[in-house]
Amino acid sequence: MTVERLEDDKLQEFFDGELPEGEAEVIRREILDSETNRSRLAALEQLRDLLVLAADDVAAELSADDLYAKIRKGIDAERQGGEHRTLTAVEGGGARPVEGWKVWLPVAAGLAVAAAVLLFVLQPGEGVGPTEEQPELRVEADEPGMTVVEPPAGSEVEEVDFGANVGTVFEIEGEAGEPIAVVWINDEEPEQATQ
Amino acid sequence: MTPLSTRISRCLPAVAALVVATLAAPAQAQRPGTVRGEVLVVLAKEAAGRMDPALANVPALRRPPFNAFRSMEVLSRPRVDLRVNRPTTVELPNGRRLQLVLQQVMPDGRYRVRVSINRPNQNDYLPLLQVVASPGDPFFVAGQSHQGGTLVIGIRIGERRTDPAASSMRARRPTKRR
Repeated sequence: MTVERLEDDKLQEFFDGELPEGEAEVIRREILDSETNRSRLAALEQLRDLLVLAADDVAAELSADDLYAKIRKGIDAERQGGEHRTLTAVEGGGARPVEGWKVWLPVAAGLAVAAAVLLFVLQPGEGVGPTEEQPELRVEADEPGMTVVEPPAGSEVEEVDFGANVGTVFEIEGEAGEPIAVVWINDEEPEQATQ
Repeated sequence: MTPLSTRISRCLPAVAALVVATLAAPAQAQRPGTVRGEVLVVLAKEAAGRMDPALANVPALRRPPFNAFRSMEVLSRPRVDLRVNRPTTVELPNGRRLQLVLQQVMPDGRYRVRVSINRPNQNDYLPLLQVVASPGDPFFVAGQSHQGGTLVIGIRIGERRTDPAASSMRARRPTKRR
């Protein structure tokens, strides 16, 4: 008698104990009669054990190295004991690609594209608003296709050291209302003869 | 009909002028990597006197606190070519030296400059002044005594945009960059 391969959903429902009693019994017999189905059920059990193991380790606050060692040990045990390689460790990119590449490659490509788009969008002056370090620029267009960038007008004092003298910093208004910096320093020392 | 040689000889002056103008233009233009600046040294006095007509285009000097002076004379107006982090020195009439250092051309187009005014090998007047200025907009350092008056030093870095439309726009409607 040839037993067909059980559907994944059906096997998972049996494994999870979600099938009615009668159907569960039928499935159990099909599994017993099929080496393939038995292996698949064993793989599910191993996976559950690994998850339980991981959860216990997290609960016990084990180090990540210990956790990885245990997971790795479980993977190796599965590799040696079963004909189905449902889990495979990839060693630093040197191992052959496994079935997982079909998932990770598109994800990695998507992330790369997203990063590129993000970098493009966040180019200075192309979408980032003014910051404290970069004062707001004034942009006007004289004609279509022509953009004029105007720096903030005027001048301002950022730092001044009057030394031994007394000084004052003024700000006067320019023609268009722009601030013009004026530094006035009293000249206390007697003036030397001009050459 | 005018001979060809005659026509060529008539064109020669124009061609020569064109060549000279072409060769002279780069010499007058700002050198690459430099920013042109100007230092205006004015002797201002409270006594009534002449206002130097050369200052007619410096309206800031007619505003307080400079409007207390009733005479002004331009003593010198040296031009300087500034390079980033290269000190440039201007001799002042009172024996002090004004040192200008262009520190940075900022992303918004303004210039960050450091100024000091001291006697040689001394630190007697203005050890440090750091200013951020828009191209062509001046800033002033005043107060040194000289020949019965006061020195007013105006410093202007770069050239202001001469486009009147742009100037009016700047005053009219500032807009955020998107």
